[in-house]
Amino acid sequence: MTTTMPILTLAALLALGAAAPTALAQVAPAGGHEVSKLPELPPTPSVATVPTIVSVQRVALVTPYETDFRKERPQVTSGWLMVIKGRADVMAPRALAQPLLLAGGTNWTESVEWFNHGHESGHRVCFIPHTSEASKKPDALASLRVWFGSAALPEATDATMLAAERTKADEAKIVAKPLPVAPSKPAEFADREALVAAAQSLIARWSPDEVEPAPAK
Amino acid sequence: MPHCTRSIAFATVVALGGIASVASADCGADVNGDSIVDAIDLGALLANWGNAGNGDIDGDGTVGGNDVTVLLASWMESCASEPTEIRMAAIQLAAHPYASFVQAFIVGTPVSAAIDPALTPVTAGASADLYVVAARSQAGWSANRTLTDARGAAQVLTFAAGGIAANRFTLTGMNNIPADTSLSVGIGFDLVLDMDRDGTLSGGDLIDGGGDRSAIWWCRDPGATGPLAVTTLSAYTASGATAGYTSSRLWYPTSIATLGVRPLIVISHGNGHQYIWYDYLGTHLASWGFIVISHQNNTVPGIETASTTTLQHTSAIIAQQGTVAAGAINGHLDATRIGWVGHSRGGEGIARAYDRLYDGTYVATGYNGQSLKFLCSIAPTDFLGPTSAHPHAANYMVLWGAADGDVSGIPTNTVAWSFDLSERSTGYHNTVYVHGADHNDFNCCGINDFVGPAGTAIGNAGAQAVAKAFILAGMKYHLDGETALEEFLWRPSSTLRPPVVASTTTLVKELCEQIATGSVVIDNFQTQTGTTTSSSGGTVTSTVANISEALARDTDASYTWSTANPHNGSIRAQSTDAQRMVAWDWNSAQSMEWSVPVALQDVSGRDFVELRVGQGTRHPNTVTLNGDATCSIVLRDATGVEARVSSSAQGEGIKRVYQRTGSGTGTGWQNELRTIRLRLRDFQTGGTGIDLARIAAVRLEVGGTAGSTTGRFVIDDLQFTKE
Repeated sequence: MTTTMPILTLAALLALGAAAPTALAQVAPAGGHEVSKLPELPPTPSVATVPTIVSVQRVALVTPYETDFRKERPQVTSGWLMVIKGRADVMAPRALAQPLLLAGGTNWTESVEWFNHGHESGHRVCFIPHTSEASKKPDALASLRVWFGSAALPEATDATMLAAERTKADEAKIVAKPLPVAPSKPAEFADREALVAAAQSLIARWSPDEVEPAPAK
Repeated sequence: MPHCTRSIAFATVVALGGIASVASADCGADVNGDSIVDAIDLGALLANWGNAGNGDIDGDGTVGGNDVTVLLASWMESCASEPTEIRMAAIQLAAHPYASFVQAFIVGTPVSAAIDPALTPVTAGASADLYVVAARSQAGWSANRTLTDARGAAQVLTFAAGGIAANRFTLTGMNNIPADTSLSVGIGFDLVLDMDRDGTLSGGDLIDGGGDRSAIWWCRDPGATGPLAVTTLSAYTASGATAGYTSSRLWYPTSIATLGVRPLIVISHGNGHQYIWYDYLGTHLASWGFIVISHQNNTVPGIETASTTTLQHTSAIIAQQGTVAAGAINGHLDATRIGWVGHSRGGEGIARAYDRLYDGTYVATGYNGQSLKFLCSIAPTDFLGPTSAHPHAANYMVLWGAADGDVSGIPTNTVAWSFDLSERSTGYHNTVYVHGADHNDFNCCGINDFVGPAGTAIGNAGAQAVAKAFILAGMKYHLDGETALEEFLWRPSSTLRPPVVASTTTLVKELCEQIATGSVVIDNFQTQTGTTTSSSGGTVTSTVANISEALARDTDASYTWSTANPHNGSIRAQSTDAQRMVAWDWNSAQSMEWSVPVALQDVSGRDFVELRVGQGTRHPNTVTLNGDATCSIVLRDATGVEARVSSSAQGEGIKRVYQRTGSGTGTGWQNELRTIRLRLRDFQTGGTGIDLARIAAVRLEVGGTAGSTTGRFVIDDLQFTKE
């Protein structure tokens, strides 16, 4: 038997409450040496670090933008707005390189943008940009897998690296999980600013500790 | 009889051009022309007894009894037609050279005046009046020679027999000086020793600060809140910034309307940080008169994107000054004086942003690279390496905690090597390494990432006190030109510690000015890469053990000591960097000596001999020493005269490295370099007679009586520098 996760509209996503936070574990002092509460980064990619997809919605943008999460900075006009649930040790913000967040299906791999870290709440709001024809196809979600890849800067990620990460994911036996078909009619945003606003609304719901104050309108 | 007009013989004493005065002594009695009537003159007279010429003071054609009478009548009087400039303001030291001539003093701490009779002839038992005078420029002294003591009254000094140790005088009444309420951290004073006690600056008097330099900077605590009330705008939207990263916070002096134009400081946070986490710093800097913003920083994709948001927000506040905060800062923001502070990825981001301005790949609106007067990176990452994470010739500071659990200095990951960036700097740069501080101690709210020995954590309050004091010092020095702050950047904490910084907090500081005009570099190890020739081309000889001159790079990804990795613990160069150093160890009295090429031997116009030195972590000798290290620096002139000063002359040794474990076996984290600056004047103390115009060699001595009995050093940038 397979289970499917419902694809939610943005309004439905906002209506959901945040799940219980999974705070970072504290590490006990050892041998008279105080040690960091910044957790060790587990090996990635690995099945053990694959996040759960909480929700996903297809969106389209009237005005394209260049994604910062690829070295080639391709233009983006559509994608999937997504909320994932993952491990705190993987998602904890670090100055050093963090695991890339990757999404892939049949013949496509994308470097996923993220809008918050989610280490306290366990929830990260992110966006899979469509930078290839394959990922834009309506049935692309049918074979979707999302995983944490090697630690690297997203802005340094190019097509070669994505291909290598896909191979590593295969070797790690990370497989697609069943997902429903995406809505036929995507939500439409005017531009990236509107997309960011939608993402921030999701952060307020799913990871409220990461909401930053905005200027008064 | 003609009055003396000859120049003064010793190098560190210079006559004050332009200040007219009248000499009091009969200067025909100054037989040898050294501006003082003393035993040397009497000896010369007696040597020519009965003859004509030398010593015939009364001009009767024969050296005789009347000439002796005339000479004795002027005994120990000065023949100088002008006051004499010498260094007097000092802190007292327990051992040779007994006084350290400095300028900066924290209000309430002791200030001394020191006179070395071997260099400045004074008569034991004689008295003079010491004045602390509000600082005047050279032109100011020419226009007004009246002495007015800021303490209320001059202080009578009576000289003692003996050397400088017997002629150090603690200034009294300094607390009578009214509290300063200006924007300056320090207020300047000149010291005048009124030898003839006539209340005016005249020939024969001694002055410290007779030019445009002040003798004393009487400084408030740069880590304490400044004199101004601060207004905070909790958030505004920056036009043109990357979507999702448009919010910024603004702090400015509430009285900005009365302050004219003031510099701008931009704070760029790190990954996982928020722009609202730097209230402590924004408020502090604004209270000292700066306009400060802290902005959302696009750090998740990486450094390039972070640099872009720094560049964008800087332009935005310049462009929007007419509307932000209802126009309160409009017309008061000086876009030609900008400082950037970046933390973590943001710290590398500001270096990259400057690099983009420098190489012309980014053209900013409203400012340019010349506008950036100071950059401060707090625990910066080094993702981009030497081609892009490069502060070039910008004034630059790295502030870094030794207990950082993120940008940790771990030898396996060069991204975590913050000092790479300061080593790349080709401009004026300094570092402050803070024991017990972790990565997120420098903001309010990040994850506790402390890694270090139990009981050594200084926490947010301790680290932020350091940040407030030293970032303000850098900003005041570079943006406001306040020279009072420079000594904070290099003097050891034992003699100049911002009171807000706990006395138990260990700070290790470097200052590098090797590119500055006037420096004479003896060896920076960048060229002539063998161990027997310096970069200046001189011969190098040594008796030390296990010497290695190489890239400042730990090559085996572990802090465990290994002879195969002689630069163990040096994490200052990626494989494509160029920064080289020398390392060696000792177990007995040993030395390394650099001969000085003839063309470089005249260092009489320089103020310091200096080098950077640190202990080699986890080396068996370092483990045995288990404490601060000392050594001696010896200068030898062309005639063979030698003079030596201990490295601890400024009051502090070479620190034991932070006792952090991990990254291999043993205890001790990265090699910590500090700048040792020894004033050349100190090598003349006691009348060594060394000729600073002909320094033939510099020698670093260790072991025996010269310093610690054992240890291992890493060394760089041996040079003579100007103040």
